[in-house]
Amino acid sequence: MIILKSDRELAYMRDAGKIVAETLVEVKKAVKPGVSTLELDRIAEEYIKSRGAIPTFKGYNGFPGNICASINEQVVHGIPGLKKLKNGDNVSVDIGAVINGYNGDAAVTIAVGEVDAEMQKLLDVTEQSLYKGIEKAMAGNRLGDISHAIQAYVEDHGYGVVRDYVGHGIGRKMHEDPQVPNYGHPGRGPRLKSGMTLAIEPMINLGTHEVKTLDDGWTVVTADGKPSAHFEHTIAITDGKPEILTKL
Amino acid sequence: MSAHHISIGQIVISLAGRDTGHPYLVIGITGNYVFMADGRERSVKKPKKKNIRHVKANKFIAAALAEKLSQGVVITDEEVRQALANL
Repeated sequence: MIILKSDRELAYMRDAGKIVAETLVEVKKAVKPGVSTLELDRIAEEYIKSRGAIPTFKGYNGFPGNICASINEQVVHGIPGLKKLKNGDNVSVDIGAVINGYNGDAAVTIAVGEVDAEMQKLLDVTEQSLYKGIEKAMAGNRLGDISHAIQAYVEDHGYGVVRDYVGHGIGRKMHEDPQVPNYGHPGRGPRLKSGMTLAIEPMINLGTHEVKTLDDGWTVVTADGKPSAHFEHTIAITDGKPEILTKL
Repeated sequence: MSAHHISIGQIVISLAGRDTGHPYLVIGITGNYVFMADGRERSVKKPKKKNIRHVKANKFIAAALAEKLSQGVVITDEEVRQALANL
């Protein structure tokens, strides 16, 4: 069941989204070669708590970190650890925070130091694909229109769209209906209505779309070991243009 | 945080093995594996563990059971049988 949010609920989600966006800025400042993902985790935890919110990921189905930090071939759900970032890596940072009972969820992939042109293009195309999807998030369109816009843009560049993991509805719970796949057919799926809140998150691989999960039960890596990128925003569907809740 | 396209409470169809074509209800997911029950040969207490690649998601999610499972409430085999009978 897709839960439509009232104006009051949207105001809470705006607060949560703002905190997530600010936290991402703080983490982004700290990313440089030699920093471990555990340090990024600590920065995020401190900032979220200083704003009176709670990191959503900690303990979610047993996830050990406050953030997901996924390096290079890690697609999503990387567990923060002592591994240090190197020049030329990319690191995807995914953050969720809850305040007044409502969630915000966003992710960016950050280049560490100087990355090669191939990696930079992957990051640019993934970020662009997110905005292509958001453009279609208008009341009256269907969910498949968002999915298709992302898939078409990415596959034009020859990259792989991850199938096994998808975006989601968001609100009082981090994962609500509907699922928001990054692949699909235009004109299919539920019709979008004002008051729906979605987390749209393309996960794009340089090579194959196939992924597997490591033995830690969380970290998802590309099957061919090539790098992957991940961008995410929480958005609200309105009668006009979609509102990006996790943007400053 | 992204969601897996197969979620707890979802109805899935087996794609490989001696149970090919058999519907199940997903009651747990870890890494590359799902735990599924049909309330008959595979009970909630002794679910079938299967590679997530070897099942196909049906578009139906037993919403009431998904809610119970997410709250940690134990569901019964009878409830699983009913959810699968509603296909």
